[in-house]
Amino acid sequence: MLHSSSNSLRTRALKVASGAAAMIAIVVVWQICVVAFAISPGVLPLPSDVLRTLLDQQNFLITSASSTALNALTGLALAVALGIPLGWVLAQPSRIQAALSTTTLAAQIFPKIAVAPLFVVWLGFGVLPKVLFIFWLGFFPIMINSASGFTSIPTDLRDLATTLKLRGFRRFWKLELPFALPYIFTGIKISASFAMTAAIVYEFVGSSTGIGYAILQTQINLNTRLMFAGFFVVALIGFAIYGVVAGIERLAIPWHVSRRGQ
Amino acid sequence: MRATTDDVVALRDVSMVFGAGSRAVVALDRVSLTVGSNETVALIGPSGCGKSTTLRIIAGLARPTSGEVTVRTAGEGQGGLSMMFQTPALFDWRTVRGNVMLPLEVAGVNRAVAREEADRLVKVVGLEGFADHRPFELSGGMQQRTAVARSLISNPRLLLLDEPFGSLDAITRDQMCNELSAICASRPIAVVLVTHSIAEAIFLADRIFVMSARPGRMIREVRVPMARPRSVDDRASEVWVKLESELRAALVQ
Repeated sequence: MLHSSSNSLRTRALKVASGAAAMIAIVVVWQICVVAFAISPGVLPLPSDVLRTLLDQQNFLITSASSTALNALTGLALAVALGIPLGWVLAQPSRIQAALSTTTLAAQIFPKIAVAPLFVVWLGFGVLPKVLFIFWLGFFPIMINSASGFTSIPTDLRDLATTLKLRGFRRFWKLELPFALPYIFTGIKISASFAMTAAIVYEFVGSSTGIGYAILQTQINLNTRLMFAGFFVVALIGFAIYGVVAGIERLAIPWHVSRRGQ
Repeated sequence: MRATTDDVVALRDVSMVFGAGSRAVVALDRVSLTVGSNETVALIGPSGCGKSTTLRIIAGLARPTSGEVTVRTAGEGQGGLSMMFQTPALFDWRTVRGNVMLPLEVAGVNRAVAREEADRLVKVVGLEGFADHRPFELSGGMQQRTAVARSLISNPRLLLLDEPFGSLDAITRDQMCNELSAICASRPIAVVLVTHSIAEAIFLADRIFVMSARPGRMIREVRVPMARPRSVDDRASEVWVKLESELRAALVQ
C-alpha cells in the first residue's frame, strides 16, 4: 500500500472535475455554434432552451423516464439472476456445454434488436414483453463473461479445493463465484449499457408509455427541444445505472488487479 | 520394498497412460513406493518423468490406469492430507488469515477456534503483522509462507509438496527449505516432495527416488545417511558431496 488515501481521493476528484469541464465546454461550443451559424431551433435547439424545457416538462419527463428505468433495471436484474448460473453450466465440461455453446454463439452473433417487432407481435404492449426484451439483450454478455470467469480458475486453485474436499455449492460460493466476479462484472457493465438501449428500442416499436415513446412523439410533433430534453434524461439514467453497477463492483472486488491502488 | 501397516502411502505397480491407441503416452510405468508415518521422501527427475503425476495420484487428484494405491491419513488428533503447489494457490479475495484458516473452515471447525489457530500459524511461518493483508500486497516468498501455514493448519498426517519453492529466488528458497524442515521436525508428519533440485532433496528427505522420463520409472532409491533436521553446514560434508554426485550421475543416465 504505497499510496495514501488522500492522494487517491484527490486524483479521483481531479478526474471528475476534468470530465465535468469537458462536458461544460461542449455545451458552450454548442450554444455558440447555434447562435453564430443561425441554426434553426427545429434542427438543433439552443442548450439554454433545452434546459428550460427540461424544467418546464420535468413532471412528464420524470414519469416517462422512471417507468423506462424501472423496466431496464428489472430486465438487467433478471439477466444477472439467470446469466450467472447459466454461465456456470456453460463452463462445466459436458454435453450440455457443447450444445449450449453453439446455441449461444449463434444467438450472440444474431443482431438481437431485430427481433423487437416479433416480441410485440407475440407479447404485445405490456410491461412483461419490455422486461423480457431487455433481459434478452442483457443476458448474453453476462452469461458469456461468467462462463469465461468460471473456466479461467487455475488448475492449482481447483486442485487445492479438491484436496480440501470443497464441493457442491460451497465450492461455488467460496471459490468459483469470487474468482469469476471480475469477469461477471465486466459482463454486467456491458449489459447495463444495453439495458437502456433495449428499453428505448422496445418503446419505439411496442409501447404507449415511457421515455422512448415520448421521444418518438417529439419526432412526429417536430418538438426538437423536448426531444433533446429526452436525450438528456436518457443519458442521465444510463450513467446512473452504469454508476451503480461500477459502485457495487468497487465494493465487491477490492482485491482485483483493476482496483488495486485506486 | 515391503509395505507395512505403519506406512502412510503405499503405491504398488502404479501405471498411468494418457490418451489411447497410437497416441497413448505412458506417463508412469509400474511405480512402487512407500512413505512411512514420519518420513520425508523426495522424488527427483527430469521434467516429464511423471513425478507430479505420482503426487497427483497420491493426492487423489488423478486415477491411475492400473496398480494399487493406499493412502492412510486418519490418525489421532490429526488427519488428512495437505498439498502445496508450484504456485501459492491463494484466494486473492481473502486475507492471509482467511487463506490460512480455509481448511478448518471447510472442515466445519468453529470460526473463533479456526481464527485463533490461523493467527498462531501465521506467527509460526513468520508473517506476524500481515494477517490482515491481501495476497497481492505480499512478496512471492511471503505468499508461499502463507501457503505453508495453510497446509499445516489442519495438522495433516501427509504433506504433498509439488515443487513448492520452484518460483522463488535462491536465497528465499534456502530460507523456506530451512523453515519447512524445522516445522516438519517439530511434528510427526509424512512428506512427499517433488523437486528438480538435488540439493533440496538431500536437505529435506530421508529417502530419495530418482525417476526417468518416458516412460516414468523409478530407477534408483537412495537413503540419505544424515540426521534431520539438517543444517546449511551439512552441504560441505563429505556425505553430502558424495550423495550429490551420485544422484547427478543417476539423473544423467
